[in-house]
Amino acid sequence: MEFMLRNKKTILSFILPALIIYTIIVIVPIFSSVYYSFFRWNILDTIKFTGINNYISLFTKDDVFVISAKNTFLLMFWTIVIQTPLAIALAIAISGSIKGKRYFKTVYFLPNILSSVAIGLLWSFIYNPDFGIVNRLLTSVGLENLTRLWLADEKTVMGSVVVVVCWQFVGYHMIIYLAAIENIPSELKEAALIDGVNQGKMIRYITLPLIKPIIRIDTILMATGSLRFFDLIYVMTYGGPNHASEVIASYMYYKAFRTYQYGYGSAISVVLLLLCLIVTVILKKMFSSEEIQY
Amino acid sequence: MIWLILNSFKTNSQLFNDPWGITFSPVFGNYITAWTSGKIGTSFLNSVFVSASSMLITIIIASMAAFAITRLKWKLSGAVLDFFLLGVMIPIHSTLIPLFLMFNKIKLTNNYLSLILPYVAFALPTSIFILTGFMSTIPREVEEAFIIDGGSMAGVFWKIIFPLSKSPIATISIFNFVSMWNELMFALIFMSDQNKMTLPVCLTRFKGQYSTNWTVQLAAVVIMVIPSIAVYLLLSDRIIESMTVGAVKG
Repeated sequence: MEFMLRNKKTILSFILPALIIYTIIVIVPIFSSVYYSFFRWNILDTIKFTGINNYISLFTKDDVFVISAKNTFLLMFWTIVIQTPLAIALAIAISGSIKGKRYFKTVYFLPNILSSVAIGLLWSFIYNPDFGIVNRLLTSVGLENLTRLWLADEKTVMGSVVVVVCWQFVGYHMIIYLAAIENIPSELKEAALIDGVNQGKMIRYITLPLIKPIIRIDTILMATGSLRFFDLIYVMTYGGPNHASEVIASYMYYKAFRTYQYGYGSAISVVLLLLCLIVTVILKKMFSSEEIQY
Repeated sequence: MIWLILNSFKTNSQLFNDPWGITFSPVFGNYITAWTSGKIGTSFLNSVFVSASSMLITIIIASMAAFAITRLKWKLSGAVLDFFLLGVMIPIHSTLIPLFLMFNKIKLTNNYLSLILPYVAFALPTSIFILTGFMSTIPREVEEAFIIDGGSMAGVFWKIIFPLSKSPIATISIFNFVSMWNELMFALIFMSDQNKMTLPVCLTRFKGQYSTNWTVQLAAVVIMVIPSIAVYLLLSDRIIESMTVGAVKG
């Protein structure tokens, strides 16, 4: 038995397929990415080593990168600020044994399984200046002067994108909070009810403190998620108008696959990778720091 | 606001019958245009093929790896698990350019493998994580008995551990299938050939091609979305569970 469990050939034959694919497709490219980022590499030019020049121009000369970094953080900030309270409120509202709970769960979660491309197209219709329902609605309540070209206006484009992102993911976060809330032992709530605590106080002093660890984890989830944002932006705006809705990921795509600056694009992707690592390390720390105790 | 949006979404398919576009034409006409001239049909099949095969490969090699990590005895198993888990932190964007250059060099672009390989590779960390969590709870007695009766290690895996892991395997299959079905970035860059595009890429193309023909675009969106919704309505609890497990643990 022991002998069979330690057989090197068996072990290798089971682990190698996964290990090889994973190493070649995920790990090796990370290092090549870092390597490429030190070169100037255009499709026409020859490849030229330039040291950290790509990074220097990225941070000092490239206005669009600054915009895209700013947008990425804006997206992160607003999705967290909007979604967290909304998701918790929805979760509290449908927790317990209310009627139609399954229905609400299903409906709110649905956008998560739909492709971002479909969602992006759908929202392009909603925002469409000619027949989209946003402008129609504004017109019908007499606010014609508020109608605009939502996705083609530099001032409104990021806001419009944030709305769609929140719409797409709030149900997902709601489910996470719902699970957390339903994990709270019912004795706690019963005891509070016997003491005559009202609903508002219950939420304030029992529910919220007990789901605090989940709030932290979920916040980091939102943060890493927003760093990886690409699909919706690509479908709805292509990063435009005039790069106003560019995020780091879409800008990397633009540089590498529209202007064929592979070295420069790699530098952007390395920055993105570092951001993701930093946020995830914080996530890991939080995972280990606190267990829920009742 | 949320309610309004949700409602507008639910009635999506009915919106077709609403003459809210200027080009109101019979519903089926739009679908036929979308399906044939937009190559939605072809890319639909491409998507099915790519996602299904990626999903199957992932299940097999991820459970094999999880088996080796949790059930077999070797010194590095913990380190290998950590090595896989590292992948959770890596955004696909950081591998995009090197992979593109690599696939280009070995002429793998426009080959289904150029999507299947990355989809499998990026699905491995979460899948292995979920599977190792489950497999380490299976009692050892079962496989000991099997081996004493003269079974091989491969037999232990295929006849005992794999069937016992049915439930986490179902979870990762759903989770992986949904993300593979919807993936855009790799598909966009590695598949430039119209006949090999997956559905999401085809839809983005569509937007340009039919930029003024809104109803055809809407038809295309519906074709893309209907299978997801149908599957979702059938399996909603399982899907919700699998996607939350996948992400919270990842």
